[in-house]
Amino acid sequence: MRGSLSPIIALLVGFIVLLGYLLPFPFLMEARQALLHWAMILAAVALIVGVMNLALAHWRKVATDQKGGIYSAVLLLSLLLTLGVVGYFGPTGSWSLWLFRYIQVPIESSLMAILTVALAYSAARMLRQRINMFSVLFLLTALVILLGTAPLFGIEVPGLHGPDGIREFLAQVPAVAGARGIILGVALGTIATGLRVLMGADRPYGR
Amino acid sequence: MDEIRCPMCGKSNPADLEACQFCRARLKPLVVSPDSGAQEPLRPGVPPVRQITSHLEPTLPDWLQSLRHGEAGQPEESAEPQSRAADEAPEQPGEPEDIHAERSPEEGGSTPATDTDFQEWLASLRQQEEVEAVLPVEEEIPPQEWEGEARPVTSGEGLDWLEEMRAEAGKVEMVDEAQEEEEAAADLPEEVEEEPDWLRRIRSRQQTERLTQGEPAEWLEEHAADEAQAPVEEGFRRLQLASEESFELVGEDQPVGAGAADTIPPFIEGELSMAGEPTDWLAGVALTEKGQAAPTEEAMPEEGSLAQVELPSWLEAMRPLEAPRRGRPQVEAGQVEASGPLSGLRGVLPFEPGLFQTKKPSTPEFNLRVSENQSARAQALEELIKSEGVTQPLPARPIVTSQNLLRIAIFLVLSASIIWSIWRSGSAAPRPEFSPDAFAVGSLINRLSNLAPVLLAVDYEPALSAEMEAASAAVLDHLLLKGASLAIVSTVPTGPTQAERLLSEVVRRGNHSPAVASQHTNLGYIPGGAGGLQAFAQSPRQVTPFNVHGVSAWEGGIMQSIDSLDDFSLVVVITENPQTARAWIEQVKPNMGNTPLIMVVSAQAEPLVRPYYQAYPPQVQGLLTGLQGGVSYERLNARPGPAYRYWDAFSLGLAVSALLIVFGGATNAILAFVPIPKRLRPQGKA
Repeated sequence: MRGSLSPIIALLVGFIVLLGYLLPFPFLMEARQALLHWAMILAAVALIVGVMNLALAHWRKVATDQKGGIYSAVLLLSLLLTLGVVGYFGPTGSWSLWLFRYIQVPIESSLMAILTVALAYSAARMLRQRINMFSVLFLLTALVILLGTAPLFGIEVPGLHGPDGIREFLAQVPAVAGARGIILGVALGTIATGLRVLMGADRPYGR
Repeated sequence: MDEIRCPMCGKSNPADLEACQFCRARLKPLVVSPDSGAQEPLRPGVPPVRQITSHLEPTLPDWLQSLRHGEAGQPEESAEPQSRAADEAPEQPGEPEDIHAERSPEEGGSTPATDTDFQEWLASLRQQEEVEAVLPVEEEIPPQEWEGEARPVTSGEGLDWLEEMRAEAGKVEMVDEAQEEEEAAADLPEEVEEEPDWLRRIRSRQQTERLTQGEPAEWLEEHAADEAQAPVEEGFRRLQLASEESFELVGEDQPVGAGAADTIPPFIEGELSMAGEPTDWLAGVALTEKGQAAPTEEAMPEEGSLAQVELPSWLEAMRPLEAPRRGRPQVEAGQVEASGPLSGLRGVLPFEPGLFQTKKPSTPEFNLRVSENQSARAQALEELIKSEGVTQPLPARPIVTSQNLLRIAIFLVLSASIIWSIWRSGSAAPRPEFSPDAFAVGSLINRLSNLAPVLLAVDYEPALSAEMEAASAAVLDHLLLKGASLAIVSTVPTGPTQAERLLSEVVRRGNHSPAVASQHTNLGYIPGGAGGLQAFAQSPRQVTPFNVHGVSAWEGGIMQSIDSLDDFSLVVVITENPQTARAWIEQVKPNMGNTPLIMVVSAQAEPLVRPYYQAYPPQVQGLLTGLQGGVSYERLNARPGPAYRYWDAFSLGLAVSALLIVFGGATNAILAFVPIPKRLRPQGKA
């Protein structure tokens, strides 16, 4: 009974929301709206639970004196500090904005900067690890996009830059064609997955 | 449902039972003779089949043959229907209904036996020297059964011996009941079961104590007072006498025989049973009185056991030597209890040999003949298995390697180019011309009236804030210039703070008045991803009723006139995530009506968003991508912003990165074809 209750609830909710789109009955639309609101609340609660789980896991790491526990201690301290500041001054308070501007944004931007170096290094060593037609084609495309996005040392190369350049052609024809295929595939996959969930073939909510 | 009547107790049972559910007597015969193939029990609704049993006449006893042939004075005409009815009825010896059918004159049966015949037959019974068998134990009727159906014997004449036996049997019965109360509380009569458990236990304990102390039980006193009007001492003396006799019956290894039942006619058995007299004790008492030796225990087949046969040789070989013999233990005939209430009795507590293991099972010893080489290999294998569980320290890697040097070189070159570009602070690279995309976005914003409500979604992570702020700053600046009233939402937890930061930067850089900046309403975070966006698109007032300060967001200012998303004049989404862009286009756009949608996305999300922009009709009315789009829009508005300043460093960094990839790729491609000496290869590489 317990194992069959979850699929019944999931199927019922799924069909109500789906029929709310298709049939213009007021009660179906209201039910769909209520279920969506419940989903939002559950998602918010899940976010809080995730934060608590993160804090608990790092607290265990600190309490058991595991390796790297100092980083967990820093995380817990930062979490408590941020909670206190944002909770007291509000999410748009001056001190909250200060924390966001001078701590969070620089840290995450630095990670992106490291990614730039890592990508450049990987591209440079790609031909040493694997030399074939596709790796060479990938590398040439990346070079064309990089060189064609901005002027090369202040010089615009005809045929590379500008609206009629090869860079715009690559970005708007082959790339968009591939993106359309990806979008169509995602749409078909979403429909198939939704139907499987509605028919009970897939049970991502567990047993 | 078919029922079958028990031949012993006469109660109805389901037809599929093998034994009576009341007295446990067998309902169906074990062996069916070929002549009695049709002797099935009479079932309701099934007419009996006439059977010819004339060939069984010589096997009947003489007294029954005489009864059937009318020696009692009955005419032949009246006896014939009865014998025919007896032949037609299923043959169930000992069934009380059959006995009454023969004895009841109202039912047209034969004439019952007179008292004179009774006496003669019983006299012959008492003088009988030998008894061929004893009564079976499993056919013993429980006391509660015949006690409930007891009734006085009406024909008391000529039954003196029966009265004597009844008196003696009553003693045995009383002793048996006293023992049963101690041993099995579940077998108590119904009137006792109605009492509470605690009261029943107390009463049982008191009775036991009184018995052990030589005092009679309460029920014995009542029984003696009601029936015999005898003093208590006399009843207790009778109890002691009966106890001794009962012990003699059981303790002397002389079980109650089953052959005596064959000597008693069935109708007598039924009469005695209905009169409250058990037939088993009757046979037992008859045996003891006559001093007849009962069959020995060896001659009695053990209950439920099979005949012992010789095992085949292969099966005998498979039997373990140490395995104990299973089955019921053999009771030693000479084992006599030395202490306790059972002192002096023999064989009443059988010992179970298999309960306690007095000997530790022997473990087989293996003497393997291994050589030194095999022993060394086994030891090596054992050490190898042990070493698997021990963590091996990784070899220390050198700090300076070619890979680290290359990474550091790339970092230094990129940093130097960007720092040099910032230090130079000039416009070395030409700015791109404004694109048609930027022109479309500008046209949509220019159409806005003063204080037009605009929904702004800030849905990017802080890591990409540099690119997204540069791309969207010009759009926000344009909106503030038009005097739009902004309502800010976000599907990213850091979005509300990100929006405040972005707006403050735009106000500061654009020299806007603080009053303009304070016109916006921050509706906060929308959880639930695509589902949350769908709910927000359908009822924005219910999903985000308050702003980030906890104040109602829809009661003041321009927000009073907003009931749905199509009441907004424009919706601007700033995101770097193509999935978030898809969610806004697919979940929110259908509920926006004619309100235009502008997407400001990063360069990485452009390929996935552009199909919606280039569709017909377009689902995205304006698209601005990356830093290049921001620079283009700033040039369109002729208000340089962060994108304009970032452009030099951005273009130089891209060019340096491309050159590093070209040179690095060419070098590594050459090295891939050139064989490297083994001493120069890094560790772990083939």
